[in-house]
Amino acid sequence: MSKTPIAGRESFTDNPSLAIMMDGHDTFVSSDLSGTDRQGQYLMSKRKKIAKRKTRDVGRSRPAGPGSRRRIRWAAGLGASVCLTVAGILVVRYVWQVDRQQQQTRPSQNLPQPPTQPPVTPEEEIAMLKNRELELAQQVMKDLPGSGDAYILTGDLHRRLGSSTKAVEFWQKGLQLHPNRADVYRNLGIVAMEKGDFEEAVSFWQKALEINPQMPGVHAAIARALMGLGRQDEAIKELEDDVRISPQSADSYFLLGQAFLQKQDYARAKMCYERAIELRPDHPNSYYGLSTACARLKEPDKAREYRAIFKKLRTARPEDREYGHAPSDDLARVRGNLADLSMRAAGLYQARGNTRRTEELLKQAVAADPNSTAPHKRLAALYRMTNRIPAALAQCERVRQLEPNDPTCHLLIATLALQLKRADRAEAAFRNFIALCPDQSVGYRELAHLYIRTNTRLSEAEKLAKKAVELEPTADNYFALGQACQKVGDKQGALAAMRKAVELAPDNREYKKVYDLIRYGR
Amino acid sequence: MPTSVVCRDSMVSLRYGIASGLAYLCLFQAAHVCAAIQFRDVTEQTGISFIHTDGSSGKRYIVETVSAGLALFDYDRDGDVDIYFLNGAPLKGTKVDVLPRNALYRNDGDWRFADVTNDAGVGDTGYGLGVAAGDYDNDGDLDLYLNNYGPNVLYRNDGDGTFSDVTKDSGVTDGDHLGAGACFLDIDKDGDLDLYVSHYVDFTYENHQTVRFNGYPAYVGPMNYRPTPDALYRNNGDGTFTDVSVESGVAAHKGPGMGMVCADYDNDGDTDIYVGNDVAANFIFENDGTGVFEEVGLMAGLAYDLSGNAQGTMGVECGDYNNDGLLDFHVTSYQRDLATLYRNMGDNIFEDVTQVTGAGDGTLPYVTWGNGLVDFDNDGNRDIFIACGHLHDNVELFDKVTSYHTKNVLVENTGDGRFVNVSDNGGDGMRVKLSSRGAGFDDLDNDGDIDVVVLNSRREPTILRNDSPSKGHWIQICLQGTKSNRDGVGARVNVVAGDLTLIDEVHSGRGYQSHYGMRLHFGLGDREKVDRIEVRWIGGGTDIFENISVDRVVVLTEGTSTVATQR
Repeated sequence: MSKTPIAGRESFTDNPSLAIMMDGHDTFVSSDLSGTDRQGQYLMSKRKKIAKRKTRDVGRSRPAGPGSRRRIRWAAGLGASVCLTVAGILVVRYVWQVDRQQQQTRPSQNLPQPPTQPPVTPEEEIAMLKNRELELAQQVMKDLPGSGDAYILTGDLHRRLGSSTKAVEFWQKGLQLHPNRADVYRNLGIVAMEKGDFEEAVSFWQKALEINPQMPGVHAAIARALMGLGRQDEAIKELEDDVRISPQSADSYFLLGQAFLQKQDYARAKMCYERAIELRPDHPNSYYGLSTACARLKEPDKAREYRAIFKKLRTARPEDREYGHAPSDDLARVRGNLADLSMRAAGLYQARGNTRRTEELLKQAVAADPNSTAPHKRLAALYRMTNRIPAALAQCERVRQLEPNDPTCHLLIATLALQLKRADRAEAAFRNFIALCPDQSVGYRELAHLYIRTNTRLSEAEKLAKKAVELEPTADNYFALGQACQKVGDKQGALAAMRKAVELAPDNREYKKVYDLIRYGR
Repeated sequence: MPTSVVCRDSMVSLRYGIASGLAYLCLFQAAHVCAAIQFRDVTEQTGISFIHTDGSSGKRYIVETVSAGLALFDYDRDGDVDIYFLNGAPLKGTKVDVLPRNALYRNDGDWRFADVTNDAGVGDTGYGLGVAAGDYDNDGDLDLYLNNYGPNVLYRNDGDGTFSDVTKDSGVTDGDHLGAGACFLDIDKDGDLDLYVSHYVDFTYENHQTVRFNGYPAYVGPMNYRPTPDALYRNNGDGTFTDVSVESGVAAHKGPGMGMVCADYDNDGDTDIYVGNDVAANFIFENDGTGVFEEVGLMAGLAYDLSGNAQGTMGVECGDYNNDGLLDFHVTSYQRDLATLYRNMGDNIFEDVTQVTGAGDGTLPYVTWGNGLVDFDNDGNRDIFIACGHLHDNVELFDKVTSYHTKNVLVENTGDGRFVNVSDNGGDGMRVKLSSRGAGFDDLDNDGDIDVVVLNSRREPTILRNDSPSKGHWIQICLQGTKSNRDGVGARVNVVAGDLTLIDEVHSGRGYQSHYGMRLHFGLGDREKVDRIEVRWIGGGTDIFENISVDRVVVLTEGTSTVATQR
C-alpha cells in the first residue's frame, strides 16, 4: 500500500521508530485516533476469524490411520506453530496499537499532541493553540529541569502572550544559569522601556553590549532611552557607535539626526537626515526630520519641499502600527507561533541528543503550520543527520511543493536522490536548480557529474561542464570538465582541464591522481 | 594617647556622624515626600453620586472607549464653578432599568455639591462624548453644547438656573455622527460665538468590528473605520446657526477627531482650531480672519510627533509653559506614545520638546486622555496633569505592561524648561487608580489654586482638592466682552508682574472633549502685584489694566480700564 500523505498528520513510514517496529510491513496506519481505532478493530476481527476458523477446522477433523496420523500430527504441529506465530504477531501488533492509542489519548503525560478534532471556530482554535504553547513550555521546563534555555524559551513565550511580568521572572531565572545571554538582556530592556523605565532599560541594554558589543540595534535602543531621559549628548555618543557598527543603517542616521535636532544642532541634524535618505530614499520620517532641520536653518523652500515628499511617502505607506499591543489574533500567525515554539523546543532536545523528542516536536511544528517550510527543512536535516534519506527526501519534496523557487531545496533533493541512487529524480532536480540559478556553476557541474557517473548523455555532460567552467573557472569545474572530456574520448581536452584543476588546487590529491591516470594512461 | 580615649572619641564621632546622616536623610526624604503640588481626594465629601456608564454589554463597540468629557463652568453665575458630567447611554444589546443621563452638580461651597440636573433640565440621555460651554446668545450666561453619538444637544441657559433644549431651532443637531470634542469660538470676529463640532469615525452598529489580542476580545482602533470630516456652524446672531463646513474649508479634511482646542496659534488676532486626530495627523485650521480656514498642521509641526509619526491623540491643551509669550500645545496619546509637548518656536513653527523637557515622563505605558497645562503651585510656571487609563477593560490579560485602572500623572515645571514627574509624591489624590477620561481644571473652592475633576470610565469621578503648600500669589481673571462675545472667548491676556510675563487665552472647549478654565488663572510666585494686564479681544481692540492687586478674582470689561473684583 502506498503512503498517503495527509497534510498536518504524520504518516506511518515517516516515523522511524514505527518503521523499525513494523520491520518493513507495508501497512499504512494513519496516526489519528480514528485510524488507529479502525486498525485495532481490523486486527481484532482478524484474530477472531482465525480463532473461529481453527475451531471450525477442529470440528471438521475425522479419524485417520497411523501414517496419516503422523502427517496429521506433523501438520497439526506445523499448523499450531503457524497459528501461534501469527497470533503472536497479531497480539504484539495489537498491544502496540493499544499502547500507541493510549499514548495519544494522554497528551498531558507526554508532549502536546496535534488536535484530534477540528475546532469549531477560529477563536477556539486560536485559544487551543495558545494553550498548547503553554503546555509545551511547561513540558520543556519539566523535561529539562535546570535548563536556562528552557526558562528563556518560557519567558519568550510569556512575553509574546503579553505577560511581561512572568516573562521577566523566567528570563531572570534563565540568566542565573546563562548569565551571558545578551539577547535576554536585550529583551529585558525592551520590557523596561515599554514600562517607561528608561534608566532600567539603559542598564539592561548596556549589559547586553558588555556581552556582545556588536549586537545590532542595541546602541540605537540605548540612544532612544537616553533621549527619553533628555540626555541627548550621551545619546549622540551611543549613536555614533551604532553608526560605526552599522554604517548602512538609515535608522541609525535618522536617530542621530533626531538627537542633533533636539540639541538644536540643526546643521548636523540635516546631514544625518540626508545620509539616512541616501541609504533609504523612501524613509518618510527622515524627510520629516530633514524638513524640520531646514525650517530651523531658515531654508523654508527646502523645508516645504521635504514636507511635501514626507506627506507623499506617508500617504503611500501609512504607519503600520499595532495600536500598542501584541499583534491582533490571526489564525495563521498563531499557528506559525506554535510551529516556531515547537522548533525552538526541538532545538533544546536535539542539543541534548534526544532525537525522538526532537522529531516529535518538529512534526508538531509541521502539523501546526503545514504551509511553512521551516519545520520541513528542520525535519529533513534531522533525517539526513540520522541517515534516514527517504524521509529526508520526502520532507524536501514538501518544501519544493511549498517553495518551488527555492534553489537550495532542489540541490538538496538532487543530493538525496543520488544517495538513494535515483538518478532520474536527481537529474530533474539539478535541471530545476539550473533553471532557477542559471548563473551558478554548481548545477551544471553536478549534473555533469551525474551523467559521467551513470555513463549517460556524455556529450551533454561535456557541455554542462564547459558551461560551469565558463561561469566559474574553479578547480572543481575543471575537474568535472576533465572527466567529461575523458569520457567522450577527448584526451587532450581532458588533460588540459585536469591540468588546470591541479594548478588551481595543487593540494587536491584526487585531482592529481586522476590527472596522472589520464596523462600516463595508468 | 591612651587607646581607650581614641576609642571613645571615635565612638562619639561615629555617633555624631550617624546622627547627622539620619538628620540629613530625614530632611532629604521630607523634601521628596512632600512635593510642591499636593492633591487630596475629596470625592466622598462632595456628595457627588454620579457614576459614569459607557452603555456596554460586552459587544465592544468603539464608542464605549471614548466616553466622556466633563464641563466645569459657573452655570448660575454665583462665582462658584459647577460641574457637569457627560454620561454614556445604553448601546444596542444593553438593557437598563433607568436610563443613564448627564448630571449637573451645583457648587454650594465648602466642597459640597448638589445634584441640580432635574431642576436645571440638562439631564440629556443621549450618548455623551464631548461638551463645550459658551454664551452663544450673548445674554450673560453660559449655554451648553453636547457632542453625542447620535443627535447633539444645545441647551440654552435661561438665566434662572434652568436650561432649554433649543437644538432643533438652532440647527446644530449635527446628524447621527459619533461625536468627540466641541468648541465655541468666534471664527469671523463678529462678536458672537460660532461652533466647531469634531467627529470621530463612521462607526455604526452595522459596520461594528472587534479584534482579539492573544485570544482575548478587544476593541478595534479608529483605523478600522473611515474618518469623517468635522462640522463648523456659523452663528447667525438670532439664535440659529448655519452649517459652513464646506465654505470654511473644514469639510475638505477627514480625520478621526477627538479632543480639540481653539486658540490663536499664530498670534495674528484671530482664533485658529487645533483638532487632535486618533492615529492620524492632527489638524491645525489656520483662520484667515474671516472664518475661512487652511489646514497647516504639517508645516506648523503640530500634525506629527518629533519623529514624524501620527499619534493616537486624545486630549489637546495649550498654554505657555516656558513663559516666552508664545502659546505652546500639549496632546495626550495612546500607550507607547509619550503625552507630547509642542513648543512654539515662533514664526508659526512648533517643535516636539517632550523628551528634552521631560514633559512626558511617566506616560509611556498608559493611554492618556484629559490634560491640563496649569500652574498648580502658583510659582508662575505651568505644570501638567495627565489623566490616564486604558480603553481595554481586559488589557492586563494580553498586555501586562499596562493596566485598565491606573494612576494619573503629574509633572511639575521646574521653571528652567524641564518637568519632573511628581506623581508618586503628589498626595493621596494622585494615588487613585481608575480609568480616567476627561479632566477639568478650575478653582472649585475659590482659594486661589486650581483643583481637578476627573471623569472615570464606568466609575465615580475623582474630585481633587489642591492642597499644595505653596504660598505663591495669584490672580484670576474673568473677561466680560461688550463688543466681542460676552465671556471674551478667544481673547488673549498678557499679565506682567515684575520680571514675570504670562499669557493665556479664554477657551470654550478644550482638553479631552471637556470644558474648563474660562476664568483665567495665573500663578505669580512671590510677586505681590500685577503691573499690567493687556487684553486683546477677538474682533475688538486691546484694553490695558494697570497696578492690580493680587490674590483675587478680577473682572475686566471690554472697553474699560477699570478692574472689578468678583465676589
